[in-house]
Amino acid sequence: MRVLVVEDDRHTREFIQRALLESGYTVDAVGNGRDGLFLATTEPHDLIVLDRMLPQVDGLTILRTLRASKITTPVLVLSALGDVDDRVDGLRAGGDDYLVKPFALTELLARIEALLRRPRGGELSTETTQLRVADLELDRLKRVVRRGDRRIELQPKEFQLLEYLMRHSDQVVTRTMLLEAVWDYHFDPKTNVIDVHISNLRQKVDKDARRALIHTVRGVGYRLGLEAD
Amino acid sequence: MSRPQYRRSAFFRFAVALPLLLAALSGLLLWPIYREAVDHIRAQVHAAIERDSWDLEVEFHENGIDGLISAIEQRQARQLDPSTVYLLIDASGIVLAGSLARWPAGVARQDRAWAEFRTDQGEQAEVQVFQLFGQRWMLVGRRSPLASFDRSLALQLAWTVAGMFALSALAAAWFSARLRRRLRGLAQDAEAIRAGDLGRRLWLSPSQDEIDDLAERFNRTFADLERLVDGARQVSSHLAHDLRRPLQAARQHLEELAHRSNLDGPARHAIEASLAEIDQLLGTFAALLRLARLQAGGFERSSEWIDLDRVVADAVELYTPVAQAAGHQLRAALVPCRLQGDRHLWFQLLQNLIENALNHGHSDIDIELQASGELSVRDHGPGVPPESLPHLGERFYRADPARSAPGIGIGLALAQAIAEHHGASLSFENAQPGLRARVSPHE
Repeated sequence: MRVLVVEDDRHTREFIQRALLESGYTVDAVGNGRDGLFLATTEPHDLIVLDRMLPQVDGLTILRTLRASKITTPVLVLSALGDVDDRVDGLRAGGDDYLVKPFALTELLARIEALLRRPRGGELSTETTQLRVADLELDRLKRVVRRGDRRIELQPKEFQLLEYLMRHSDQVVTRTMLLEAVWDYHFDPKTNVIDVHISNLRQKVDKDARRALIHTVRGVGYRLGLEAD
Repeated sequence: MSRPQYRRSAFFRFAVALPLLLAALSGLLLWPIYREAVDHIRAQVHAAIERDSWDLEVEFHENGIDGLISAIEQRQARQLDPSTVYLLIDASGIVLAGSLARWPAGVARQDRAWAEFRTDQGEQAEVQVFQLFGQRWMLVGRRSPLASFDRSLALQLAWTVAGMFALSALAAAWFSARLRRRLRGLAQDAEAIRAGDLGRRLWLSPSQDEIDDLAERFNRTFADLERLVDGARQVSSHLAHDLRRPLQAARQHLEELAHRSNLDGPARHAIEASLAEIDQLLGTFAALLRLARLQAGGFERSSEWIDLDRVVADAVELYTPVAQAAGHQLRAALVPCRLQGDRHLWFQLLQNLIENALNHGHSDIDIELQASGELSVRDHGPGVPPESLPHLGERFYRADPARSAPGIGIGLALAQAIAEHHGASLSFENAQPGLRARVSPHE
């Protein structure tokens, strides 16, 4: 997997680069918008981590240029601007995800992984109505969840949480990713609201089950799957 | 403008009092002139009567009673003066000559006495009484011009006073309306400044009068205040902004350390705890910067229509499990409410109010939304001391002096800034028991 990092702050760039290398990615890292645009259009990458404010050519301009040239490489926008309108701008310009600086490395890695595993370009799998992980089944149309023979009753938000976790099964999903995906508000809760929801969900899903499916990944978030961390 | 408010207005009182005072003054000035005129007229009438009666006396002395009678008849026939009054009676009261049918009631028979009476036609008459030889009595007099003079003078006086009253009332009304308009403009400016538009100044008229002088002094004060407030705001947002970078760097170092070396046990715990602390601090800085941006008007007021009841329901849904985990209920009474605004900011406001209620109330929470957009979040906890209520929305304010509860006092300030951004205000009251936060739209 080859990742392009376009970030002008040397310290942050090297920090991301080291972390990605350690996680087994191949990394190209550049410090200005012109080089970034050049590399993004000439070399094939699986993902681009793009800072929003860059010298010479700014991040959103690069993004628009890429999308206008039909380059659909997933782009994760990094920005010091964290308010809703900034975020909307970033996503509207063609970004696939938006992460506000300062961010946690684990958050960045989790989002990169989610983007890389995401089915590309309009494949039918995003519209799958049946999701299945081990003996856990979720039917999006009938809104029914079963664990083996047992039918599980869920609140609407619990259903959405479970659906998101199952779509990203065997991936680490951070709390912020869950909040953004399920609640559709951009905010930063101070108490661990999401943990309470997951704990309720876990009660229902893993109750009486021989093997737990929902795992807490310490300091990062959650993972749904058979394998424990 | 309602009636009592009108009465309270200094200008209204001025517009009534000034003409009244002027009317009273003009009455006071004109009264002696009127008295003097009346005295003068009376003296003239008396002089005329005396001249007349002297002539008649001479006639009587020279030609006897018959001469007198014919003289009186001649005078009446000639009608030189239509206001003359004569009467001559004999000892038995039979009228010998004159314009009256009988001796008027109320006139004493006393020689050379002056008397006033009312004729059968209802006119006021002024007469002098004479006793003639042989128990005859004569009246010589004039119908008094004083009554009609009084009437016309009173009428004129009344018109003058009424005219003055009307003129001065008009002048006072015009003047006070102008002043009121100006003061209203100044009040609007002041209200805008109070509402947070610190850059606004009181309007100065081109006339540079005393009011402008005063307004200019206020403006200088406002400028000083604005500088101070800006300074205070900038200090904290600069701090937040400048400290973010080194904190971020420290965070990156720690994270790399945790990521690389497969540390275990106490060292890993220490790193994770430090990371959590740094994250909290960074979160506070982000909130401070957001607050500063809101207060500086950095957000455009969203014109998007949102269903506030939907946003509230979402927040309630998010926090219900949290409240339940703590053994409390989160109850919501919502009615549909559509308004223009930013749903993300409203959600943040609700989140801050609910978290505040959870962290400080430790009790059930009631949330109410009315169709007018009035929103209240109420806990059933201990409440706060009354003197703290006005300060709860201030940055860094902590009602709890021991600072035992979590947070640094930014959440409610942010909630207040969000409310104000949407043209509403955030206030707090003790609901006995508990604290009620109320978001009320202006107007």
